[in-house]
Amino acid sequence: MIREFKAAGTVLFGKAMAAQLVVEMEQQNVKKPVIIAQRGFEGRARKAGKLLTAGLYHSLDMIGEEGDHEPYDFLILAGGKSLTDRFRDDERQKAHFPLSPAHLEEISEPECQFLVIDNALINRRNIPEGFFRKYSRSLTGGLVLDSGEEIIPRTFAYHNRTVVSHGDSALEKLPEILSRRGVRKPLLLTDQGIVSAGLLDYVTKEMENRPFVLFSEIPSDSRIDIVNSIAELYKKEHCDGILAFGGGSVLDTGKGVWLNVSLDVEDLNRLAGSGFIPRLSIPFVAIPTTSGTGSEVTKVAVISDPERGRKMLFNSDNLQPDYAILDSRLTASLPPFLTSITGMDAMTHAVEAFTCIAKNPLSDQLAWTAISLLRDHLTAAVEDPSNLKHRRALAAASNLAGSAFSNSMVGLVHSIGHSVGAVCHAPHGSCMSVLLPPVLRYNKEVVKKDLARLLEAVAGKEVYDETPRDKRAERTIAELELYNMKLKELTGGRHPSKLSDIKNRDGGQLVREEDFEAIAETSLGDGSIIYNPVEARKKDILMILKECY
Amino acid sequence: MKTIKGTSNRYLDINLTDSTWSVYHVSHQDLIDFLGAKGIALKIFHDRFSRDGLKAIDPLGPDNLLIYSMGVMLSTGAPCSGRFEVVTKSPLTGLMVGSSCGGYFGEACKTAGWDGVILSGAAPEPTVLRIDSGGASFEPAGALWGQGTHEVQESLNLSPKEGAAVIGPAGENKVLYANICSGHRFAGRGGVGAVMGAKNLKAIVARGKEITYEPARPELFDKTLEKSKKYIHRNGVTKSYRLYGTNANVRYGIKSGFSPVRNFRDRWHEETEKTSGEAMAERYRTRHSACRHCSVLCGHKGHYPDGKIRQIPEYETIGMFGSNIENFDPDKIGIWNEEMNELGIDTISAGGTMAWAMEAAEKGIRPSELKFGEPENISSLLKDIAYRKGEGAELAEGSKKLSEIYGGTGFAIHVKGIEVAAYDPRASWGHGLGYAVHNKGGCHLGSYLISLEQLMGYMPPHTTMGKAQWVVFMEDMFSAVNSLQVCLFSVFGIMTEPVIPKYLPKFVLNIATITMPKVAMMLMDWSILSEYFMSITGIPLSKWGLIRAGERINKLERWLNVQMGMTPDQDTLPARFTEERDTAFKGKNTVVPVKKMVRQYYRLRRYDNTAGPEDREIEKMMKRNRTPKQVKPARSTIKLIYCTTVMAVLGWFIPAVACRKTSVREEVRALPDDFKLRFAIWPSGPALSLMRVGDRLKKVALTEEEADMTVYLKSLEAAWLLLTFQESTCGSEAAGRLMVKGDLPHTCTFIRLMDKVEILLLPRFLAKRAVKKWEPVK
Repeated sequence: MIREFKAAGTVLFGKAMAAQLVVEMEQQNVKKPVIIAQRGFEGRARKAGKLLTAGLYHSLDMIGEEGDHEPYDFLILAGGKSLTDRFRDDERQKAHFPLSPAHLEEISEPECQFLVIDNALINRRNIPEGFFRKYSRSLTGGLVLDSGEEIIPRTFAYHNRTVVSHGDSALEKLPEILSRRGVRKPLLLTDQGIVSAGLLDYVTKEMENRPFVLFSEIPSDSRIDIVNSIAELYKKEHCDGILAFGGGSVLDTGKGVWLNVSLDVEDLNRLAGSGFIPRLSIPFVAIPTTSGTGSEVTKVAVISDPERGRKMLFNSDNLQPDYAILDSRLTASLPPFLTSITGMDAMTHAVEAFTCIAKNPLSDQLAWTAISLLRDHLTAAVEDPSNLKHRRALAAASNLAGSAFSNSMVGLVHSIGHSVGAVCHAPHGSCMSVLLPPVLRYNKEVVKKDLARLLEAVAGKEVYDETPRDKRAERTIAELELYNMKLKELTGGRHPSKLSDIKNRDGGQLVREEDFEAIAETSLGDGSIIYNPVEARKKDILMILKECY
Repeated sequence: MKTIKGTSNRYLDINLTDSTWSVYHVSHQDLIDFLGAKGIALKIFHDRFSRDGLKAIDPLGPDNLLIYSMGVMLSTGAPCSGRFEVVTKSPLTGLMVGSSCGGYFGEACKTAGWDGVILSGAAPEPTVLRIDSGGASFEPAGALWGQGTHEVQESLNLSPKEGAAVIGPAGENKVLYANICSGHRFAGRGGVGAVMGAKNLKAIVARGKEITYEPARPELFDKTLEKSKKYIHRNGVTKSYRLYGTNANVRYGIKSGFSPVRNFRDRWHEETEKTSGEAMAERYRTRHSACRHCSVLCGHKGHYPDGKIRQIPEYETIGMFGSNIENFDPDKIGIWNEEMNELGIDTISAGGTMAWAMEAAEKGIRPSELKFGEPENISSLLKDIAYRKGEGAELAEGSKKLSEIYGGTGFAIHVKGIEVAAYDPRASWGHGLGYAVHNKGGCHLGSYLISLEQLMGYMPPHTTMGKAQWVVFMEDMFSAVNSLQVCLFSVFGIMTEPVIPKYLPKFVLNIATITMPKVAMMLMDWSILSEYFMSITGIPLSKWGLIRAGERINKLERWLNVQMGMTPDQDTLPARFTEERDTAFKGKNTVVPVKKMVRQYYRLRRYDNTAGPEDREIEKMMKRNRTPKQVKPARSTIKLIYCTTVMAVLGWFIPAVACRKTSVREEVRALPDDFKLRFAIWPSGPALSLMRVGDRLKKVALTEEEADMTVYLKSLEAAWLLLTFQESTCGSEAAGRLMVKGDLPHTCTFIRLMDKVEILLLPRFLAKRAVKKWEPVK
């Protein structure tokens, strides 16, 4: 069975979010937007119109439902379901701007590319009960599990544009996706590891009689020169779509190529930064072969420039692939050790998404579901690697966690973890597994409530009910430590529970105490530290590193 | 069975030339502006033709449109709502004509889900059109072509769900005053039947009962229903119609001198009483035979001496084929009525043309078989007209065309080509003005002022004072009524039943109506009509809104007429009414001072020298609520000034004060040498630019291209929230309010710098809100 996760589009919630819609419109090169007011709500629609910032559009046209909407290229639908139904089949970009809680009640799934719930029109207190749960449930085809009371922050932005197909033979969806987007000659990117593992056939089989161009020499890191040469190949062969089949570096390289050919810029440097990439027109399909990183739904691309000795960081909602295919067959051959660390990587993503400051009710639902799935299937997948049921669940969990953290961001675990990886060349997942419990302990006082709630997802309802309330946060951390221990046991000691456990192929220790200074320095420069609920200085980081050594 | 709230707003748009059809959607704004039925049909004409196009339409050619237009009231079950409008360019006048019709076709069409049918083009051979909820289909008419109106409806073998609109031989032969028949009712005037015949369409059959309609506001609808039923039942005029049909007017005519006698020469005859409603009721032992949903029940059937049961003719027919041709045998009129119905001929125009022919023959202008007081050849001549044989070929053209060829225009009793109805305007000047200015021509139902002047006696008939105002008012009212559509007869009860006009002494009313028309109008209450519209469609409409809608419709119709070639000299009465004073009538003999009243009318209507509304007025009408409004974004000068000030303060503070602190300098050292940093509000708001010099930051001026990293706040609102410390810097980023262009990794340093600055700058309680962890800055 192949399940599909829908794209949520962009959800803007809270104070002054209408103004943010304007920036999005600017990014998409919208020239003539219009507000369409539902009959009977003209006054409120006008108010909504006024919230859209000055400076970009001197004034905005507003028409009624029946008005002439032909000349416009972006529709802002101010009203409820009757209005969005009317424009359901309209191909243009649309923003839905509900004007009252009743309008929100009517929404059960994404209707338009944007949903703007501005505080000025709908007060936080008046959000219908369970609205976000209903919404996220519609995105995941009902997979989302109830996480209890919804915590609604004052303001948040959620964005997810990737349509995900996952299941045991999800790759069978590939021809349909290619046809839907009119791709006749795709560029297929992968690396030698995939080819030698024999996984390439799964994809090429689905090409049917489509011609395609194969590039399988992607190295283990994504470099600008490789990106440029692949882009040349794309243009020479007149391809019209990109398939990135592999792990993190393949996907990042793919994204680099995607940027290059869609925007046709000479120097990618000009796009570096956060929030400056417009919608890319060329179809991009991500087919990950690892389970845990969630890289098929991330908004980031990292491309290094060895000549200039720096890494270019691109951060944008529009860097999420158009489509992602999670085929459980691809991860079936993953050895137990890799399964366990990628699984804990997903766990870290989900837990951090649930506890960091950018958390929002939609990502909360996804994170909760991911954690519950991992609880039920991670150890089982390590014990019984060929059972596709567990692989499927892990793939789903990884994807949900990926969507969650792409929007709520991650915190100190990743700041330190990235740095350990950079300085000591330790595998990403190993670093995350080890650092998760101690960082949570560091954050505990501030995120006590969230951690307490998480106990149910991490250990199950029974454990939750039998633990006294004030002890729950501590118990969650303890349970996560237990996971690490259990997985260490199941993988014959390869899954680390301490920093000193992280070893290279020859058995040599990768992380040494001398590296701590460098690690702490690097951590302070990692963007995710911003989102950690508790401020961390260099000495705090050193303390954490010592604790889990 | 599907239920629709309000109305379906869909018209079947049929091209008879290539037998195709599509759906025309009436927009919401059109419904608001033009109400439905007649109004919408006129709008369709306006939209589909250019100004020159309107003039160029040949009424009997394929480019003319024939529109059956139903209205929101039909099939709601409201009293007197079983009518629909037929609109086209008339072959008799060359101007727009709208004719109202009863019968089942309207309801069948509506309950098939169609608010109307637009017919364009012409079928290649005689055709029958079948309509149902799925659309339209076309069949050859075959043997049906040539049959009479009732004969063909029999042949069609209609099921109880079906209603038909058909033409008789007159329509087939394009007699200029041929009509369309639905059941036993007719869309009489203007030659609409000829247009249908020219399109080779013998019949339209609609199969209904698939859709029911529900009012948008059911409680209001029910309330209005109750009120209107009450009024109609009580009203005196409708009471007399209920008893004697429209022929109740005959006795009034005798008394007041508006009987049409001898081609409108005499105004009175001693034998006219034989054709009165009362006399006929007795003679024929009449009983009711009316439209569906009728509360007035003006239609009657009776037993004729030859043993047949026939429909009792209407007042018009009795007049035009009775006293007007000096025949006083009602039996004959009943027979001719039946014949004309079967042939599909308009009785008023037929009678008027024949009367002219009789007088023209008498005066030696044109020989004719017809003669006043000789009824024997009428039947055969009616047939000749329908088949355009013998003298009928010429008579089929109508009195206007004949008088233009032969002379005798002074006694060709028509206005704009349509023969005047059976009310002599010399008895009722206001009614005369109505004839002269009505868009359609000499139709009495434009403003029907005779009802107020003579039938109800509310207004003195022989003064010009106030008449123009009343004609304007009633025209607008009736235009609206024809667009709802309800039967005009119900309007009397609705308008005059309210307490004041009912019980005020007549002489007071007589003075009030002409000296203070506006006040007198306000005594009437037609809010029932606007409430009907509002309760069915949900669109708010007041009673004056209804009048304004009627005004729009009326003016649109006039403008279309002007484009089609109408000229100011056509707003007049035949010379008989303006010059011949002395008649056989023993009461007051007058002529109608029509010129003066028409001038007053033009002034009130604000018509220009084309005798129509200015083009600008129509353009404005069409633009109502159809152009987009402009929403100007709220500009907050206060917020802008505040943010600019804070940025400026920071520009001084950071280099001068903050950089003195060791821990701040530590952070600065984390940045590359000569690092250029910019902090700005998108897209072109106030900005702060800093550069690393040594281990301090210096304020500089930078453009976006020059900076290594620019941190943008996405909007002025976002900046306000940040700089008033309602959101912390991290919180701002978490909410997605920042955009960073350039080197992302240094964002952390920037945020830590900002935190330290805020700690230094602000009192502790404020700073605590702005940063994650408050620590003194060394």
